[in-house]
Amino acid sequence: MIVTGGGRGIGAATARLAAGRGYAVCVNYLANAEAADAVVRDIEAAGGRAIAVQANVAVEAEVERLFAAVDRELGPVTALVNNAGLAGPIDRLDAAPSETIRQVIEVNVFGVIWCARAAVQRMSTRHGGQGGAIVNLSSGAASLGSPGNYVWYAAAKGAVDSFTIGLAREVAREGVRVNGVAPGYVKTEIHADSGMPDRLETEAPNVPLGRAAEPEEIAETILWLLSPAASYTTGATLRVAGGR
Amino acid sequence: MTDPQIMIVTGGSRGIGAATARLAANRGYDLCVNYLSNAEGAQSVVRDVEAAGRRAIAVQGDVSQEDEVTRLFETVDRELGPVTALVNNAGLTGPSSRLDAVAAETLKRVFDINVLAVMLCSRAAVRRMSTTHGGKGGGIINISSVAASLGMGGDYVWYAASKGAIDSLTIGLANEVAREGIRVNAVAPGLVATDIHIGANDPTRPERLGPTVPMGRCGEPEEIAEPILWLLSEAASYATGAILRVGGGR
Repeated sequence: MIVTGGGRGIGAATARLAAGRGYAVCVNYLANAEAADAVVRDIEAAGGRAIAVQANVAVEAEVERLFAAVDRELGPVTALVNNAGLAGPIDRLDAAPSETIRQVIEVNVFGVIWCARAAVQRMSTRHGGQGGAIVNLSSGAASLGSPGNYVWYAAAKGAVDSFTIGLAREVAREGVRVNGVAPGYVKTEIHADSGMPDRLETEAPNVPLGRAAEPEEIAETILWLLSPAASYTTGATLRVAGGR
Repeated sequence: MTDPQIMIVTGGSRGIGAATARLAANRGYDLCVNYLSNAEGAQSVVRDVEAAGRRAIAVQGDVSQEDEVTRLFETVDRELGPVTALVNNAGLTGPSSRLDAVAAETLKRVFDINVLAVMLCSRAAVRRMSTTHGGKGGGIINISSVAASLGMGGDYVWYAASKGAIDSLTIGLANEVAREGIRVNAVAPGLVATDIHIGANDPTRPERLGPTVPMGRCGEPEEIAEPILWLLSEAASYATGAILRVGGGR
C-alpha cells in the first residue's frame, strides 16, 4: 500500500490498520518526517513492513519518484490511498488568496490524479499488472459546499468524486477498483492547520451522531473498500459523516 | 456477556436476502427469515443458518400489511429476542414496461412493498431498538438500487422512483435516530443475479446486460451481502445516513 499523507491523521490510522492486516506500507509525507517515521516505527514494532518516502504529490516528478521508490523497495503497489489533502486557511471566496486556492486544488485534485495515474500504470492488467484498488479521500464538503470556510476545498472534493466515478469505469475490466470515502468531521490536525483548532469542539455536537469521528473509523472504511469483500464495489463514494 | 445479535431479513428466502442471512449466520447472528410465499426457500436458509450453529426461524408475512409486520416482529420478540439488525430487503420491480402501459395495480404493489413496508418494518424496529424506548440500539439496512439515479426509463420508472424514496428515507431516519443508538444506511446494488428479473418478465436480463456493466458482469448476491454486513458492523460505527453503491461501476 501507498498512503499519501500517511504521517498523520486519517493517513496514519490507515497505514497502521493496513499493516496490521498484512499490507507492506509506504508512508508518504510532505514535510513532517518525524511523524512519518513514527508511523513506520509503530508498524515495524508490531511486526509489519513499512518505509517513509517524502514527496509532494502535487508535483508529477515527485510522484514518479515516490512510486519508483516503492517499486524498488516494497514491490508492485496493490493499494493506493489518496489521502494527502489540505483545506487552507478559512475564508470567504471574495477574500481568499489565490495561492490558497491554487495549492488546495494542486494537492487535493492534481495530487490524486497523478498518483492514480501512476498506480493504474502499474496495477492494470492492460499493462501486465496484477490488479489492485484505489481509495480517494473525498469529504462531506463536496455536497455541503463549505460556505464561509473553504468553498475551493469543497470544489476540489467534488472533482475527486467525479474522478472516482470516471476512473473506476475506465479501468473496471483491468482488475482495478476505484472508490471514495467522504468523511465528515474527523479528529485530525486539518482543522488546526486551517486556523480553526476549536472547530470540532464547536461543530461536533451538531453532528447527528453527536461527535466527530476517530481517524480509525475512516481507516476501517478505507480498508474495507480495498478488501475482496468489496469485490463488486467500484465507482462508489461512501459517506462516513455520522449522519451529517 | 454481549447481547445476542438478532437479524430480521425481509424477503430472506432467496436472492440478496438469503445470501445476507447465510453470511450473517457466519458472523454470529441469529436469524428471522421473513418470506411472502417461498416457504421452501426460507426453510433452506433456516437449515443453513442452523448448520452454521445459529438459531433461525422462518416467518411468513406480507410486510406491506401493518398487522403482518406486527405479527412478524412479535414472533421474533417471543422466539429469538430483541432485534438488533433489520435488513429491509423484500422488493420487486413488477412487469417491465413504459409508464404509459403500466397497470395501476403494479404501481401500488411496488410502492407498498418497496416503500411502505420498509417504513412499517423500520418503525417496528425503532420502537424496539431505540434507547429512547429502553432498547439497546441496533442497525437498519435498506436495499436501494442504482435504479434510483439511472431512472430505468423504458423498464420500470416506478421501481426507480421507489428506490429514490428509500434513499431519502435512509437519510432522514438516520438523522432522526442518530442519538438513540441506531445507525441507518442503504446499499444500492446494480445488476445482480437474482429472481427479481423473473418478476420483471425479463429473466435473462443479468446475462444480457452483464457485458454492459463496467466490470463486465452482474453481481452475485454474496457481493451485496458483504456490504450489508459491513455497514451493520462496528467497523462502520461512524457511517449513518449513507448509501453505498455496489454496482460494478454501473
